[in-house]
Amino acid sequence: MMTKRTKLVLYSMTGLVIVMVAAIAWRYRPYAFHGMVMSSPELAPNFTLTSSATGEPVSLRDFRGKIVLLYFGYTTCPDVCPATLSDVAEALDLLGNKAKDVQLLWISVDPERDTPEIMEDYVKHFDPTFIGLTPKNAEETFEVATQYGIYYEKRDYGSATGYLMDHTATLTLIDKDSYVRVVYPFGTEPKDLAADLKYILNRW
Amino acid sequence: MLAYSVPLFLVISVMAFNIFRPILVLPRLSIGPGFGLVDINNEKITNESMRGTVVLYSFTYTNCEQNCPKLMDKMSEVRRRINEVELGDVNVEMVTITIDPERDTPEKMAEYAAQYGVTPNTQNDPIPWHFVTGANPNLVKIMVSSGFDLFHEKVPVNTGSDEDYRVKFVPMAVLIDGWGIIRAEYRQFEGTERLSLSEGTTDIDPDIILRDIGLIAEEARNSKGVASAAYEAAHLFACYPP
Repeated sequence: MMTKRTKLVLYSMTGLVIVMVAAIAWRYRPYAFHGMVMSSPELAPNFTLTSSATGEPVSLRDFRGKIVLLYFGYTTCPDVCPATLSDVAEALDLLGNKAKDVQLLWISVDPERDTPEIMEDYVKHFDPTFIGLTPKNAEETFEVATQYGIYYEKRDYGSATGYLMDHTATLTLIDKDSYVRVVYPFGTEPKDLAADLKYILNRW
Repeated sequence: MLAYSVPLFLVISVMAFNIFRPILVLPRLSIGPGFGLVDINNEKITNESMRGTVVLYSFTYTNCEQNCPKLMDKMSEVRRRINEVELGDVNVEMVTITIDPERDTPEKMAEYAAQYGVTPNTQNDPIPWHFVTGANPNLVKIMVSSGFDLFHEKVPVNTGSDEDYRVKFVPMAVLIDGWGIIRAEYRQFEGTERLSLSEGTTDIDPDIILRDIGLIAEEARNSKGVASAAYEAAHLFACYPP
């Protein structure tokens, strides 16, 4: 026959174990990324373009060992490009000293106007670690852009600054081994991006 | 008892999920290419206009005698049998891209499409089927070979004229989801030639394409709220169909 006391102890211990199991399950729950998670069997498409930082050719594969955030835009872009660049800069600030393992690469879809010098001025305005990449010609731009699902088109809206470019505004996360891991839609919050980056940096 | 049954239940359910695979998903293989092309109504078709729509892509050219008719018949079959798949509110469309954009104008594509019952009037019935070409043949070539990873090359035909050539390629269809991500590739191999990534078939099978469209539609319909965690788990455990 159990006394009231042993019953109480038994119940409270059972309760404690349940809470612990729940805590462990919560701790190891699958992480929910804030973009589309990929399971690519193949390496991210490589490219070699002119770096705004050095004026020399640089390849995606040179950045193995770092997480690469890849974005396509142009310097006279009025809205989505500066918004994305400042969001990424803010996410890197949130990461603190872990940000050194993340590299933003910004590829111009308007190489006619975006020279490496203009690109350098522009990206450094957002973050000193950002690198702008310029393709040699229209075909090279297209080849890199198409492989990352980027569509772009010149649009003459009769603006005083000349034509605008309509372009896909996704941000692509490429992991340290050079596989595409996550694709983010435009408007991903800096804190969400920072959380994903932190998660990947801690596990891989 | 309860204290032990909870962790045991958790372990068993994870194992069961892994073994019985209650949810099947198609892998997110790679990012679908960016492009801007025109259909037989001279309407612009881009990867952005296809966002939110599940699209079955295929490749052909109007002068093609060998490979294309077989592939196009299969695409036609998929379209005819699309009602066998439970789509719900998920939009499915088909896009056929020419690999000979130099010769295939929208007008020629329109003539070609008519052979498969696709005219400007019937284009959307039962699901839209766009026959597309591009104004800049060079960019179309780059898009197909680098973006879709479909190797193709011109081979001269022995008539002495430069205008007379055929395009050598291995027939392929690609399934892209509403996020613009490639979920399945179907390639037709000749003889014993196979890719390790193929599903072990040497022929493109409309049954498998229909099954895959169903899987994407099911995932798009169901992965909301808590169920989305289950679908992400299915991706994590690689619960892919055989």
